[in-house]
Amino acid sequence: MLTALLLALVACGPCRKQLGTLVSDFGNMSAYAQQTGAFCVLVATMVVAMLLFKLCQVGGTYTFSPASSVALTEMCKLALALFLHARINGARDAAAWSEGVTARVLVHYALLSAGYTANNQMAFYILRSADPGSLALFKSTAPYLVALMLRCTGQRISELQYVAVIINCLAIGVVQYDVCKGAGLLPRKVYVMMTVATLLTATTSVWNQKIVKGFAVPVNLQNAILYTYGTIFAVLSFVLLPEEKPVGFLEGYGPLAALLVIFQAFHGLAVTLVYKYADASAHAHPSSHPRPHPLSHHLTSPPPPLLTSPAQSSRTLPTRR
Amino acid sequence: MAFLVIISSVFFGLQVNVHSWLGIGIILTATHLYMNVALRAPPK
Repeated sequence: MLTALLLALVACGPCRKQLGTLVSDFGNMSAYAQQTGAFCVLVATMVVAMLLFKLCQVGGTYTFSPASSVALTEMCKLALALFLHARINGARDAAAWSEGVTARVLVHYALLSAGYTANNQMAFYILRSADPGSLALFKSTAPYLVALMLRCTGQRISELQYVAVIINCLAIGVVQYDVCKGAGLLPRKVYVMMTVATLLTATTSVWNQKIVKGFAVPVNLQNAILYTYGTIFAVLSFVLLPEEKPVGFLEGYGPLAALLVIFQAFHGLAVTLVYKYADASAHAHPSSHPRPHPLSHHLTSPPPPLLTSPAQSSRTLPTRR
Repeated sequence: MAFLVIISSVFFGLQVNVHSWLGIGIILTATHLYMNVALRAPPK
């Protein structure tokens, strides 16, 4: 596991220049090619991210602890955020490490991070019983939930959009209902977990959008605080919550499990590139990117508005036509 | 989403039939419709 992480970090060094050239070449393509390329990258990233959860399982269960996997992912992101804040933002003194941080900000970050961590861990348990397709179908309601929640804060939703929301929910019922059995395709417990996960995704999205984004804290410091809380919560859940098959913190990690950690930690970069090059409509799935990636604001300007409703994204995202 | 449903039906035992494929088509169309309306909405 550690070897894989070290190899990934070492591999990043020589590839930086090539990566920069690739991104630069991508920027010189036509708008259509950029959007198509960004869409393909996004689809591939999302599909691989979901499939890795399934591929890591052996006999329908994980050989490692999901809580430790989430904790390791948070640690990777935390290391990157701290590095960026120190090196690129030039944070050298105590003032730079506490810029804009107040008790109120810390409480909001702690609660938001608790929501994200719970959601991330729930994905492991959901995908133990459910297939990635069903979860993706269910999570397709998240943008609508975000929009409906933002409706309470004054955002307008047209009648046609309400119709789309209703049709979408009915169609999910059609796909997931087994007429012969007279019940859903999956156990009821899984539907409850998927509902909670989707609600959690939408709530944290709106929270992030409406409250946390208003804080005057540098992005990398903000990420560092969020990931610190995320690490603490994940480690606490590893220690306190009972597991069916108790394993050590670093026990049971094969190549695929290590890849899952690395992919979860860094796949936000691909999504950030999509924000830069694709139209807002390409990124309709808030659940796909639960929080800003540490490198996000170095790739895009302004930083990608995460977990927003499609309507809001369209007004905030930089688009290239 | 459609890719994941296809992969799930082939490798992970998701039961699919004509009804469910139509449902998936409707979900994709509804999402496309929603996005189009949202993107063309005038700013607040």
